[in-house]
Amino acid sequence: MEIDVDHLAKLSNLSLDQKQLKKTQNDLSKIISLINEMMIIDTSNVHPMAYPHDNHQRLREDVVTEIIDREEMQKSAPKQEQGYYLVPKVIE
Amino acid sequence: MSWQPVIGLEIHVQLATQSKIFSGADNEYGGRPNDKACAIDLGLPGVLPVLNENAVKMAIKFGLAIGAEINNISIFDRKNYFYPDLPKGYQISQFETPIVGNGEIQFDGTKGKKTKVRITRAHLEEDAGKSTHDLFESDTAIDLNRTGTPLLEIVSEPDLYSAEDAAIYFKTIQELVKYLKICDGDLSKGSMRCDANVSVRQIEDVELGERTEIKNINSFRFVEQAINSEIQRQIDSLESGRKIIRETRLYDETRNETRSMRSKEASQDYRYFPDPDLLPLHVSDALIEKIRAELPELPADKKLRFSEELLLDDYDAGILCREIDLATYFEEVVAQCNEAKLAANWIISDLLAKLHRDNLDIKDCLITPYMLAQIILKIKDQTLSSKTAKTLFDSLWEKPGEPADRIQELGLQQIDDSSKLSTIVGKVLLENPEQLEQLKSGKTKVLGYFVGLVMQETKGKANPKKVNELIRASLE
Amino acid sequence: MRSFSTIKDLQGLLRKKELSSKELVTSYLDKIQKEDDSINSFITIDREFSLKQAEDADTQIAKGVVTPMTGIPIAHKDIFCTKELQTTCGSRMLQNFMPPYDATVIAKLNNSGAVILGKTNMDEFAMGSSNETSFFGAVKNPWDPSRVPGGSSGGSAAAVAAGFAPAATGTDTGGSIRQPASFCGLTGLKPTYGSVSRYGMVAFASSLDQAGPICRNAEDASLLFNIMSGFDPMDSTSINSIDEVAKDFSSSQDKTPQKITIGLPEPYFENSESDMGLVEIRSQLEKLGHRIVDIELPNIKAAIAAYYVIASAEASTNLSRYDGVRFGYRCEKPQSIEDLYTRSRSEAFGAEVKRRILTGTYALSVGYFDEYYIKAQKVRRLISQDFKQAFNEVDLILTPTTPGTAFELNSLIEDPIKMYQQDLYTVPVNLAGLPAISIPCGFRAGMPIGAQFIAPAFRENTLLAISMKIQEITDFHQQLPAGFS
Repeated sequence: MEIDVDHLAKLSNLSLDQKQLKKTQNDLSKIISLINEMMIIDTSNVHPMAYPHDNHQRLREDVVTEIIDREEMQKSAPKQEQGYYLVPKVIE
Repeated sequence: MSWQPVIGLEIHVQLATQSKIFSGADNEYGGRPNDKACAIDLGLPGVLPVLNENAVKMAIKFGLAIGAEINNISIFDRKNYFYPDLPKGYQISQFETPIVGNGEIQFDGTKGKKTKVRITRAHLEEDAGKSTHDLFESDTAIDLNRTGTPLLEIVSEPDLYSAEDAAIYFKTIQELVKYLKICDGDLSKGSMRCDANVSVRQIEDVELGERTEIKNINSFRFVEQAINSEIQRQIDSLESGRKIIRETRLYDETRNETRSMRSKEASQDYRYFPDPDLLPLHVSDALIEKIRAELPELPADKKLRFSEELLLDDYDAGILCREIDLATYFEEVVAQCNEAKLAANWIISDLLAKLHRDNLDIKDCLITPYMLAQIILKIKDQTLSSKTAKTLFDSLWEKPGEPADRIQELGLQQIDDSSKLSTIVGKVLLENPEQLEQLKSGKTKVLGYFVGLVMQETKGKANPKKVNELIRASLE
Repeated sequence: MRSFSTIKDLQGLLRKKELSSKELVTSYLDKIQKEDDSINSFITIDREFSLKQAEDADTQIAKGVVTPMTGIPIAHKDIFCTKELQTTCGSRMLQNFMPPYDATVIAKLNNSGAVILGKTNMDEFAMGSSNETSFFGAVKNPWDPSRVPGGSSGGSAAAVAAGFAPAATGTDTGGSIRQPASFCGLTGLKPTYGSVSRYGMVAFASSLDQAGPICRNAEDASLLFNIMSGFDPMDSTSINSIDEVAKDFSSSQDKTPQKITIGLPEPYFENSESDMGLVEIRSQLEKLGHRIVDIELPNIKAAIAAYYVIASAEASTNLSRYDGVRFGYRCEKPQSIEDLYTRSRSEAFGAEVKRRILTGTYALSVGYFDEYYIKAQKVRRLISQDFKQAFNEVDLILTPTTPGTAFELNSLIEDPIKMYQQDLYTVPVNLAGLPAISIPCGFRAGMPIGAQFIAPAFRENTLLAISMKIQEITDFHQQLPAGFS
């Protein structure tokens, strides 16, 4: 089955030219085949493991701890004015 | 064709914590753009979230208040989509296992009808920033101060059948979160906002029609208007033979219509999966019980107490409990004068009328509980009659001050002096021999006539009870 | 051979005041300047910055302040945020990025008095096993510059192997510390997941990433591990109560580890070239009185697949923040917000990063989520259970670190599948969150071979103790590459 690389690229905001699309399609197919082959293991009755250990989320005390230096935070900003980050106008 | 609208609301409540949900940045509203966005809020490379315990407690409080199941284990998920005010390119939310499960809320809906709305779930998530499109000519300005503000998203079942009920439900939730002190309920600051899912169906149908979502409604007035305009649009479409497309729409208040959003939200694949940076949230039964024990008195319980202990009638109790600020005001007055019924009457008949006329909230009321309590006490000790009390009230409304002083200033003191009154009583009795005869012959109704005359003479300041006694006494 | 000194050697020199930190750091910087062109192990060097740190250290030493790392130079993988040095992750996307904070690992090492020599080269966003995907050019293996040093911590490994630094930090998501250590004849430790803070370490796969040391020997590795590890309130996945035994390692350093049982999952090795030095290390272990037994890890063959699904899935979302809005690369004259996102990301990410983002997006997308992501997490649990089961019978598990020695540059880069299979011995460890170490155990055709020990969670002390003991009776770790000694 063909993988819709175009759709995936749109979801992840990547653009590929025709040549890259074809190569990526091939690569992804090979990767997915590899994955399919290896995952024929029987996993019925197995609970998914999303975390490497069994710990619970620790809760942080509700106090303000950050002293924010806006200039410092924005020193790597590509386009900034009057403290705002600027992007091309978004139409809703 | 008779159509029935079906509505469900998703209400976003900003929780009033000190710091943000996943970072220690200040959660207070306002400030220069991006002044309150720390590295974690900005989603800079390498940062990690840590969960605010107060946000969890507030969510639990809400869940308990709506009688919902609190899930002992809940998971945080990433909801993936791109938008410039969503720094990480995903929002940390809760998808399959929210912290609060099924609950419900009851309220007096349209025309006072008892209405129940089931709440499917409530979950914690982080708020995004703000995009402003009209500050710069060709750019959109992004302010990420709001990023990371804790949100409680409350999702209702489609149990609302009119725009009016939807607005009342929204208000009911607002009052509840204010009662619980988990949110200031200030819509102008964006502390609460809602999305409405709207569909229509033939009244006899069991299935729901296709729905649309109206996003980001941020006032009660707009809730009703937006939903009504969307209902009408759907009915018009269906009656012309067109189908309803499931989509997201925005309400344009200047045109009073909804329009389709340009973004392809309907085709969005959020790719929810458990956020590996946050571990499963475990909430113990012990913690839940502790929070339950610390819950403030809820509106329904307060209403019951007002009826049963303070002996108010059901209707009055209901009005006073509708807003926590009003209930608190009432309780403060009662604390100072111990006259629940009188306090209720004054507030409901006089105070609310004036507030409504001048378009004010109880918070803005210049007559303080102390002043009202004083008025009531002065009625009780007969310094004032009900008429002079009203005069005092009106005067204090225009210009607040110390009631005792105002009574002096305006000379409102009730005339209680027997000798003074006797003189006036004697005078009116003499001046009206015919009515005196009627009184002597047993027509007690005429008593009122004489009392009225005395009140006239004293410009309403005579103590009517005293006058009454003196007239009777003079007959003997 | 000052440049091939261990941290311990340098501690001695500094304490005896045989040289100052400034002199020491200068000599390393000079060597880097002279010889790194052929290796390309560093992305950023700031001479002035490093010398200032060294001077400060000398002041401390003069005052008699003696901490393990005062004045000792160290190189950092360019994945750790450093407030005063740009942090690129080997990518055009972060080419000029100056973080406004230090990673916790960096802060801990700075507080211990270490001097930062520079930021080392790496596979872009840690995705790779050869350090050939870096925007700043491939890194060469000092043992044979026509070969790769391994990845993604290739720069760190090459720098230590070439004598440009006595030690370096690295990160390991599927083998990125252990494999380069193995290819470069070094000792690399991947700690238990949660024992070293991830705050400030640019995320690749959040449930798999861990930071660790790459050193000349296990003794240095244990020193650095002790400094780097510890609970961090800024990281929700950071462990609060590290096993007493593990934390007490410093005092157990001189004790001979008791006789232990080591498991060899034989059926697993059919993919490796020859025995990869296991015969040799087996005999060393038996000489030391330890017992070797066969064990089974029945589901281990599915590890690579599960790893690629999970790592790509997590990475695909971790990299969504690179959008040209608040920091990082922004394309020229974006025409719309969509154009800004798409062009910035497409121009600034390399091919492997894009491939992984697309794979990850696929695994998480509607219709494929259960089949790939959920399935992979189930396989993960089976593998974790296999390890738990094995550790009921044995104290440690032994495997080769890699299926072969360092391969040639450009030989695997066009074949992602072959590249991914380099990780077959290392990825199961990350899936289970366990600690593992790679130590040199031999040579083949002049190229180093590494052996991997895997321990139960929080048993780094066992790993380090056995490694130190082996390094007492062998000298593989003391060999030096011809071109640089």
